[in-house]
Amino acid sequence: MDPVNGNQDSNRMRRPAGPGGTPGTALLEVTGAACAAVSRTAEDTGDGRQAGAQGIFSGVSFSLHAGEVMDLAGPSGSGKSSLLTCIAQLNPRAWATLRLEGRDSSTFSFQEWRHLVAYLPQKSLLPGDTVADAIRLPYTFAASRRATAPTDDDIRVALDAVGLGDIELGRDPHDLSGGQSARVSMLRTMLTHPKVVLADEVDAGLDDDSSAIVARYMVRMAHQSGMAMIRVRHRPPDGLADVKAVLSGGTLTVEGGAHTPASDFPTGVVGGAADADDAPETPRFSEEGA
Amino acid sequence: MSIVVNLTSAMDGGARLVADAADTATQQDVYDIDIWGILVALGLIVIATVISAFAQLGVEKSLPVAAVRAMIQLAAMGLILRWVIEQGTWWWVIALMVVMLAAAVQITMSRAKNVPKGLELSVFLTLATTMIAMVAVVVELIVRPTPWYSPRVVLPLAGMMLGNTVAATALAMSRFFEDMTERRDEVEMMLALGATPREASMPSIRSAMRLGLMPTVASLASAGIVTIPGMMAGQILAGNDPLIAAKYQFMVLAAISALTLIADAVILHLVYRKCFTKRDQYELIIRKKK
Repeated sequence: MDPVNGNQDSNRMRRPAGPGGTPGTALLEVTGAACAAVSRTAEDTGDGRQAGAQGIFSGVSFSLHAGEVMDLAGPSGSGKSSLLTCIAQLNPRAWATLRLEGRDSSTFSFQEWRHLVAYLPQKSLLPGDTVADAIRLPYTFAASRRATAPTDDDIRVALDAVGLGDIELGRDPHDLSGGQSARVSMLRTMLTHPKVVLADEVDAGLDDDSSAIVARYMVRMAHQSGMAMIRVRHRPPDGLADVKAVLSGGTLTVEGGAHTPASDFPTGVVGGAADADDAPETPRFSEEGA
Repeated sequence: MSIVVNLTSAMDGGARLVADAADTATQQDVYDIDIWGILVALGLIVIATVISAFAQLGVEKSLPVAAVRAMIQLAAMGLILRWVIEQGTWWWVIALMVVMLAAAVQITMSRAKNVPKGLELSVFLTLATTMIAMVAVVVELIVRPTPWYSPRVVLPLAGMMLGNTVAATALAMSRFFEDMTERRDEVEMMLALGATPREASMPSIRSAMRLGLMPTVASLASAGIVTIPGMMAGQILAGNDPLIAAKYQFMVLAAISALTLIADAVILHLVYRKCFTKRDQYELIIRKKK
């Protein structure tokens, strides 16, 4: 029940006590995440092993509360994607002690865990004959067969909300542009209503306007439904994050100084900020935007 | 590569023995090949080698070696079959089948390109399963020889089926692992959405099985019009009634269709897990061959 106990190393543990939230109990706790840098192909020798001995990162610990959005920054190659796949238990070279709502990850099946802690890959692949099929792909898997797939109306509303009003549900996903695919792929994950979303450069293939629309859509959804979110972003800070963390030299530094607990923050305000332009100048976020 | 073909042809030779056993009339029409005939056949190899050397095809060394090897293997198989048939005991039949099975596993592994290590047991189980199924159905249900283990019937048929399942199994494995390598991002995406390893492998399993069945369908379609398949040709050359030969050939083709598909299904369900770690993560380590 006490999530703080297991976390005594140098990495900062965040425990905001937002009035509207669940004080003290983190939604997601990551303790002692480590990733080795061994090449997948097993053909690389010398360099790969050296790097493997050092590891990409180790001893990474942090926690996130419901509704919190964390931006994960760091130089390229610092292991940002590896940390995200580590948290989704998708990375064969990475290990971590993970807890969701106080429950250890070992008490979930891997499929349940990934359904709840959803990694959203940078590459958007949309198997299926139509956009609607592509979005309902997760419901063909046993892990989410009990869940209700989004109806055509749900999908329509979601597509409209991210600037894809002109995409029909019956469209062949192969005909979509890179930016459109990226948004459909994002919706596919968001519509499964995970508790944690690990978004890996969702904005990489998007233009500035779409990127801002997508960011606001995702953050609004996180705040509304108490979803925690980690974003690795391709662009300058957009001021929507509650927490900023930097992964560099193998360790994670959480910059939580100017933090406002997400649960404090009325959803309407977020919606309002979202409707205004991309707003890094909003005072509330200014330090994180630096 | 040529060994299986050789084995199969050896068994075609054995088919003559089947013919002898099954029948009948015109034993005096069997034309033996004398030593001059063998020399003429060797002369053909010499001609092919000279052409190859002249055209710089680069097979002028491997071709005569393979030809001599084939001759020795076929002669050995002929002698062994003759001896086992003379013995007429069930344990020699079983022993020879086990030896053929062991050789078939080794040949399958050498034929399958770019597959992970440690598949021998899976291949053995696959080939053994299909071999037992073949003996049960084709020999005991269709041909019904007396005694039940009649080496003249069991061994040539087992050899032919084995030759085909070896080819099918090697092809299915190569194709499956190639497809899983190509689909790497898609597999990871599906795992991230909560798919089990099996669910994430299914598209590649289907693709490999489809590919494995195509040559069979093609051989069914062309049999009797474009080609007189080896077994039928052997029986007719051995002086058998061509209609009996045709019935045997059809039975063999039908059995091959079913058994290659069964072999593909069994091998792919035994090996797909090789693409994943114990934590249900995608990790495919391919052993590269030169």
